[in-house]
Amino acid sequence: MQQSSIAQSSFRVNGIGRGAPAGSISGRLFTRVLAPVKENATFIDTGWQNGRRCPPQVQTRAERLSEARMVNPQMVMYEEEFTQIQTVVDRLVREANARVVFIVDKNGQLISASGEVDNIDTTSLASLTAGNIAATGGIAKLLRENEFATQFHEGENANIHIQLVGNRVILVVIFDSKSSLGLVRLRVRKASDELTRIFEALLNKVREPGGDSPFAEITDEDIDNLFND
Amino acid sequence: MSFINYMAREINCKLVYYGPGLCGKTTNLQYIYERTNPEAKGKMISLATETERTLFFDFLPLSLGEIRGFKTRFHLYTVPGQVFYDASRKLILKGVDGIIFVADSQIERLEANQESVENLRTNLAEQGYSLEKIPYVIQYNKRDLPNAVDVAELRSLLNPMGVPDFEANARSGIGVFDTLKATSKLVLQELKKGAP
Repeated sequence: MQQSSIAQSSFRVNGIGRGAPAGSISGRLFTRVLAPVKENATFIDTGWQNGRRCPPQVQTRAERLSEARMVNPQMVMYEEEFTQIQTVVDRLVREANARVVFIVDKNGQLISASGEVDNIDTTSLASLTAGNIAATGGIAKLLRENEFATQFHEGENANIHIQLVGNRVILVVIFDSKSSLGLVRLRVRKASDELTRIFEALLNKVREPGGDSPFAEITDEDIDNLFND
Repeated sequence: MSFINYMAREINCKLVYYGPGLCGKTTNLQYIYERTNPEAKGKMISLATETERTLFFDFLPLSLGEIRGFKTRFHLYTVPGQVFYDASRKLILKGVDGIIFVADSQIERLEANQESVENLRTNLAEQGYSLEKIPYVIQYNKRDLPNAVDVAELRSLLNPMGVPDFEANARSGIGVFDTLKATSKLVLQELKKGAP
């Protein structure tokens, strides 16, 4: 379905007979045309095709939340998978002659790092890399591309290669003149395949019902104690 | 979305400061940065224009302490407030665990506050979140200014859901940590609720 620039906009309607937010003319139109309305439904404007407005997709809040969780489930890291990831990252540092390799969640959380990490602010780098990938993803969306999965920045002394892995995590390689872009790309490709498999297995494990959580044992008192001065 | 790392025994959460342009989001982060022990904070990053307006985001990592052997770390972000930076605002909201809405108490900014809340609601909905479900706290900032509107009026306009709200003067720090603590607490309670 062709999507216009307004295709991303959505209109909230809180139940039957209640209007869309002020100023949202299209939203009002939908409430009148489509009845009955699902409780707490969101109308996703699907844009225009052949001069006619396409029917909006209707999603309930439950559907929306469930979709968001599928797209962006909570990241949990267990010892077993962490060891596997760390092995891949350590090897990549050696095989690509890199200075530093690290893996970041798309939300900016650092997952794993290897190499000369003592001289580098990995927390800040993780946040900025995720911001960079998010901005590039936004540009891709505007150009109707799925993603720009690879980025490379060349500096005088340091170069940085950023690769989106499995559309979920970001693999970052920082290297200097001891290595080359060709070598890094080659090694990153191999490591990406391995990482994709590990993270898929990890996400499946997280989705399994009955998994433990540190929060299961935490009491309200524990939370209160954290904020006692 | 929070990140629970069993290996490092860490819980990482993302808080976002939202609000209209010049309401004091960055000032909140700057005050927290200045008043936090060096061992509990990382570097503060501001991606700002030459005139010190937030262009993409401000970022401040904070450690709050341990719960049952797990270090709790919060990543604080601000969004750019100017209306035309909406695409960037949406990106910052990805994976958010809790939201602080910083309202500008000045009478001239009433409409801007309301527009910003609506914008927050829309941008959250696009990502499958809802303001009713997500941990959400409101801060009425700039209470020291002579043209500040009564809190009762701000509350009726901006807080119909009755979420926790605080009066603040971010420049001098009044209310800044109260707002942060309340939001962090809500986030941890929400994570506890979601635990099996």
